[in-house]
Amino acid sequence: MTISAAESPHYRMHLNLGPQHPSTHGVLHLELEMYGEYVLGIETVLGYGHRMHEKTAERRPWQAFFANTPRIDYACGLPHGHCYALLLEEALQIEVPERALSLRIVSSELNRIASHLLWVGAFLLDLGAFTPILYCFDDREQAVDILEHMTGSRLTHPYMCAGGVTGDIDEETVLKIRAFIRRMRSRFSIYERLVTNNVIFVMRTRGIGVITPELARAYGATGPVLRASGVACDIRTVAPYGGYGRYTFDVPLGASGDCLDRYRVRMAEIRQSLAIIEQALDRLPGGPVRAAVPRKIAPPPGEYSSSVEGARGHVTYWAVSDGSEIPYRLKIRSACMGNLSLLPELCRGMLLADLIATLGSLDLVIPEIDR
Amino acid sequence: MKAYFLDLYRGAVSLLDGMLVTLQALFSPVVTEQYPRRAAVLSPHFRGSLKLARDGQGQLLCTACGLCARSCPSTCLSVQGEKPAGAGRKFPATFVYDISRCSFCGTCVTGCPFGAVVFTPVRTRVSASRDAFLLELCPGAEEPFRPHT
Ligand code: SF4
Ligand code: SF4
Repeated sequence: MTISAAESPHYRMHLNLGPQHPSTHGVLHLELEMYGEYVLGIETVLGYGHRMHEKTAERRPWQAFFANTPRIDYACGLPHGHCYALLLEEALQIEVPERALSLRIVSSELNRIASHLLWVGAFLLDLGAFTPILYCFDDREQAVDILEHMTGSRLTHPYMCAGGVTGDIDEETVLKIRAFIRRMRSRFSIYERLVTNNVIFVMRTRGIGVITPELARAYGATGPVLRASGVACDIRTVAPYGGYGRYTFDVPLGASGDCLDRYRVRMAEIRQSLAIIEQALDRLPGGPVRAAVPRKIAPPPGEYSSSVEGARGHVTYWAVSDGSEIPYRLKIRSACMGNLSLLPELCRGMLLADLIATLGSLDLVIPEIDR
Repeated sequence: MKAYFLDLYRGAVSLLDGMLVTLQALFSPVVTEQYPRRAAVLSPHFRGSLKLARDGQGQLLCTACGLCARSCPSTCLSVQGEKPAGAGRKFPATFVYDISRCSFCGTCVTGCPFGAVVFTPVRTRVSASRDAFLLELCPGAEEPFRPHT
């Protein structure tokens, strides 16, 4: 579509989308420049959910920041805790027990599944389909119940700690997780019939918001958004951490990088996460779940960093220690900023309804950007 | 023209198939928790309000060492101890817990060398006054409120 400036100014308007709009997934404020139903340009306004996490870290002992990690990305918090734990373990040269490694992977993958299911439901809600979110929440509830039993809370799981995890699981929980895997596998056909094959869904998402691999790379997009464009980049396989190197799983890739591919990639990732959990349970070693860690944590002066694959993409923590018990600086790189910066590029000439579909397909958690 | 009608047919079939899924769900058991009407079932591991644990004789395990208060990231605990005459160690005289600041992170629970402070699955507390969230966990008050039923 081409719009000439000479056309009637009557159709030009400035539209505020958010920050309290249900389809902005948190508190994102978009200022849209519109021509009728078409989007000419977009300005993103951030900062409504800023909670000073990085600054908080500089005022408290190193281990106190574990309470903040799941609250940064509240839909998939465990990888954040995992990342911070890896950083401290590298800094302090702590050997993590094998059982703790497995439990970290099981809990992180359950969290990823819960996060993807939440996304599927919310994305379809953005597209105007109300029913699927009820099925997603039915399944997500099972995962969240297991996580509640493992970690003690339902959303902001304070499970990771330096040297391992805070709690063990018993045989009953293992059986529950296995039952969840079986149940989840049987549910894929339902999603297929309800969503994937649905002609309206396919027409609303195919060819919409196409992100080329070059564009995705240029803007630093990561996670399913990048993989839907066909770039096989997953930290779990590219630079395996915390024992992921021992598991066999595929990295699902998309072909065309449109909204439909992003949906397909996330659904396929749920299957892969189930496979990872199953492998972890099959060879769950015994032993302790937490290594002995000094009561006072004071990493030697220097810089430390660690990266993990969250549900939305790369999570990187970078810390500077001056040798004291309090971090000198902690910097967090989360995935959503890179993914959101694609939007102004994608939106030009889009219909408003397609913009909402594209925005939804990026799986944004805005407070994760604000931190 | 033929392709057009084929698309139309396929689309209609996909919609009907989706409706069949929802129709089946109509006859499957209800999965919704009827929360306000029925108390939600929580795991015993759920991290709710803290309480002070006791040993087999009913004695508080806490020695009022203050470690939990110092390590709490949200500074919600304050402990003061006293040594009763004849006792071999200190006991807490007041153990004030500001639940409105607590992030249920568990630093106090995992950090206590005596396992003297533990989580309970008790979670609901409603009040119009801030003081109602300052809980005294010491004897007689260590189960400060009832679960919401
Ligand atoms: S609860 Fe534990 S850490 Fe806290 S004062 Fe009592 S003994 Fe010390
Ligand atoms: S759970 Fe965390 S925030 Fe709450 S009292 Fe214990 S240490 Fe403080």
